[in-house]
Amino acid sequence: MKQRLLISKNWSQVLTFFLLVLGYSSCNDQVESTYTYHAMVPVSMEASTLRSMPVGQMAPREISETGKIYIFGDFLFVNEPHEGIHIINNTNPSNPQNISFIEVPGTVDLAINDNILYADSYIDLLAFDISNPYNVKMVKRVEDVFMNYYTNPEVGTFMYFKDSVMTSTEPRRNWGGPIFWLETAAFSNADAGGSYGQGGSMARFTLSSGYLYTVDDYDLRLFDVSEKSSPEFVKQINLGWGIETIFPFKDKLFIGSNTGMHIYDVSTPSEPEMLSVYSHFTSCDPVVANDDYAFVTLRSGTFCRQGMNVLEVLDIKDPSDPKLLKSYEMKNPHGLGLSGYNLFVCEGEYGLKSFKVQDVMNLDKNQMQHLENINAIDLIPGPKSLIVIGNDVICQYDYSNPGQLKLLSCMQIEKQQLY
Amino acid sequence: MTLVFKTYSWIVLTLVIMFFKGSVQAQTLPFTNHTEIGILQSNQGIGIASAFTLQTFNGLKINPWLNLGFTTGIDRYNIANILPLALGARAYWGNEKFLPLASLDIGLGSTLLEKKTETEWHEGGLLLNPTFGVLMKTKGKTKLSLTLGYKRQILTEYSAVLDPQQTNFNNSLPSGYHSLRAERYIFNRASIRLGVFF
Repeated sequence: MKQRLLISKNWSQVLTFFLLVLGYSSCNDQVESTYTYHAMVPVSMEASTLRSMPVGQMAPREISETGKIYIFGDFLFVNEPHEGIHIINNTNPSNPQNISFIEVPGTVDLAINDNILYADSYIDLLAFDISNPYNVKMVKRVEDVFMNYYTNPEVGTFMYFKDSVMTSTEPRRNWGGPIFWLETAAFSNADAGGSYGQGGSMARFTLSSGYLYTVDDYDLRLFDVSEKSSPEFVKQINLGWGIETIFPFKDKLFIGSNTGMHIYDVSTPSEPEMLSVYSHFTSCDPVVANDDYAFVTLRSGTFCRQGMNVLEVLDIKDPSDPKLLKSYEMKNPHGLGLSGYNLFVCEGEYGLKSFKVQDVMNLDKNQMQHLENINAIDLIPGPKSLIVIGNDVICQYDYSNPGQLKLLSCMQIEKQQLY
Repeated sequence: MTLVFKTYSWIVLTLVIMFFKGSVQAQTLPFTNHTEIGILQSNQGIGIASAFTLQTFNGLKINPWLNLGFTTGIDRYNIANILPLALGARAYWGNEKFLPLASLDIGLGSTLLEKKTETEWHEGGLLLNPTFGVLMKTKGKTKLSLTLGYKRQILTEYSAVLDPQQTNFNNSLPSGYHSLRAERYIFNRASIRLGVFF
């Protein structure tokens, strides 16, 4: 009898527990969605606001994103898009030193002319005296030259697109929550993809025969920099659309666009004259050239739709009539650089390749090296070292023996947390 | 996120190894096993509201009422199959035919069984499973169990869109990715299991 009572007591405990469990209202699944995406976010600003923002030398800071790189003497200038320019003392390429930072709001490109550094700041062009890289001074602001940013020139407002990583979080919700949110998110994805196309709207700078040439999506702009510390805007020439890169060689300018390569004669620097346009499929394409040949990489990507991944060799002995000689299959070619008869091609996550280019019809048989352990985006064959910009490093190689690159140093770009 | 998860995994693994190493030395303690099959049920589940669960506890009887060990098995949620890796405890007391049984499993749900691609992958997370129930003695050494409990399991499902051109990067989005969607599920389920204990 006693035993029975005990058992029933046990069972009543179990039953109570069972009821408790069933009554436990939190037996609901929950889900929290986080959507992170790249987007170009339009930001509106007044010209007066921009001009009141701090500009100039600051303490050195960590490089968190790389843009264009420029070598001048023993110094390396690394543009951090929209933020400013890092100055690296590269006297010893095996041990580069980050020495200072020039704050330039809205900068995406730079060029240096005899101790004067030119950088864009959204709508303005700024000139800095860098004769002492430890003490950089702004010497000139040329106002209202990159008019393409303006949305309302009378009032003085302009708009730029900020390359942003957006995160939207839908707080924890129980099932039965707003399902339409998912569709909203999918829509914003498409939106982001669409506006992302604006990402290419970066000005590109180059100096040639006393003139500073800049390109943005549509135009080539000229600045007379014969008075170095006081650049003067001369004029702009419409180029079409999708302009991406500008490469000077002797008295020619090679301008890479989404749809082809433009060759301009700048023997009269103030009057660039179009010689030819070589068209190809829509792709992204940096260009390098020597006297006889131009090397163009075309790559596919979400932005460069329908593209293909090739390295093209063009005969430019007659610059008014470039001819495609051969195209070589590549994996994901980005920037490239030519040093004498050595061609270096960045293959994105697939590494870095080097070729001998004496025989342009047989480049594939003359590949010297393929470094795979680097994510290479762009490079500069500098006087002391080959500088390779990766997505999270800036590495320098001794390329005195171009078939056997020797790693000198790598600067890490701010540690990233990967998934 | 991965880093945190990995750290937790190592802690759990180390504890498990230490525990079993210790148990080998203490050979006098009797081995116990509790294998259960059942469902994880929710009132309002995401997708199918009940998930099949199979788990086995292997441990040692460290005193007359407490068993400590390691629990593994499989939980088939509709989102993903989860392999639990947990430290477990089983306690029962009394000499009757029906004995009260309490158990606790704390550990990680692993998504080792799930396919992982560059654009889609899962990541497991903390699991917690306290239960209460009864053990029924049989003629042999084996006892039968019926347990009811609460199981909390965290699981994150990632889906990404690649953009090889996207070389600039940010803390929240790895290089080469255009977008990343993370769905973090918290499964709050009632566990109902039948099992054998010896």
